Amino acid sequence: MIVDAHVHIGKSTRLQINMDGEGLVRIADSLGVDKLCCTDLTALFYDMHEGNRLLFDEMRRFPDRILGYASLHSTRFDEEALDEIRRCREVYGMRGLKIYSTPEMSIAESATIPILELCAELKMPILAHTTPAECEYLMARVPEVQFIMAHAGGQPFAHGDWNRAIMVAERFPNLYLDTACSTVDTGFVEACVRALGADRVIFGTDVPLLDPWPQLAKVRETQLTDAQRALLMGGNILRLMGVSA
Amino acid sequence: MIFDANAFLGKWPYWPTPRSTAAEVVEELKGLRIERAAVCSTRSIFVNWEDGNCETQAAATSFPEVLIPFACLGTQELSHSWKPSDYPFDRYVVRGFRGIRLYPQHHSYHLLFESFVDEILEDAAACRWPVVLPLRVVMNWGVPALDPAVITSHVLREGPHQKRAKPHSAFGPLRGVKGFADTLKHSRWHADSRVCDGESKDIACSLTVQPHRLTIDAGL
Repeated sequence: MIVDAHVHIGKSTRLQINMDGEGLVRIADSLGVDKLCCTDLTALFYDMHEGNRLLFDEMRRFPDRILGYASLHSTRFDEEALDEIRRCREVYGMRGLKIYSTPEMSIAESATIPILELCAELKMPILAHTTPAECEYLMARVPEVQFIMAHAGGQPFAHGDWNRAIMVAERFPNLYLDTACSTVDTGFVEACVRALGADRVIFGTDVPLLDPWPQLAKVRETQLTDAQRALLMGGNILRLMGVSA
Repeated sequence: MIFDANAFLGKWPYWPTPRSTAAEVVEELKGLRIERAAVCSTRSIFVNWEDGNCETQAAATSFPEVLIPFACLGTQELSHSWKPSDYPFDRYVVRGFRGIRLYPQHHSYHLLFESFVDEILEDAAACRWPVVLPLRVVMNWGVPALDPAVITSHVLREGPHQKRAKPHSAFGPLRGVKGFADTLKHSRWHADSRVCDGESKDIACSLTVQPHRLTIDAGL
């Protein structure tokens, strides 16, 4: 089973995206991807309540294909954010959380800590658009949370200093690396697996922002054993989300 | 009459705000003794500009005595190519809009390299509509401020045919005062009062502008 752990749904003027579940499932079918772990763009950049509700609607439309990340447009909403995460987990059945960081507004701050603690309690992995330095700050404070560094540390443009991402991930056993990047560096996936093991690297495409084909090819065609490839391309994210294959 | 030239309705994603609906914004304006305001929905900035325009239109319809709707325009999703036929300007006139706001840094295009910007300026000029170019939305959250030099160079490129336009000028301390001054050499450009963020040199700069080219921005 192939699971894409990094997918966007909904509308964003900044990212110039307008994509619904039907469009994503069509793309997934063409790729041979079985499940899509989605985050709603309205929830991520404007209104968490509205956007997470929209994602829930799409999850109901495609229950076998779409898994949901709850999303927060800011980590500075205190109890309102925590309540939304609980609602997404308990009412909507969302299995993870997506948060976003930018150079102008980093999430490496105290306001983020209760969110990480709640996700650790609810066993919800966090996919976070963060730098290695931000991950280091956060993981040092809540090391038990399952944390996926999106783009292997790519912030803000989805291509990260993955060598540094690996160095940080080596120190925190619950820190995972996502393979979705806007560049395809030679040896990137192999280096991640060699340093961290195949159970700490997670396949994602960032579709529809990034063209999913090179994202798929760079993982599928990498020199890995079948068992390793199965972990990267679905086993790991399903395990973190508590979903059976 | 006090007129707020740059008000918003809608959600503010970066921290909780007490007012987001049209009714709440109107109530706040009344409390400040501001009689009318040019509004735009933040949904246009962060989610989808046309969805936001629908929200703005509905708000102005509900409070026609207070809210003046400004349309936010941008590129089409997944294309970077804006086709006038997709959104004919006349439609915005019929819908009651009275001005345009552009947010190139939030909508991932560049003022100098998108032909639709010229089309919007020409159409707006034909309607005698102001075009607002906010340098930033409140602060530098999420994306950097628009470079005033870009606005200036666009004005120069347009030369004598430059249409009526008006930059919102919420400059940061080290950025933009010179660009602000350069921009205002062009008589058709106006500035709004949020240039006065408290920096003494900003205030001094704004005082060099003739009163008829300054507008009030309460920051709502």
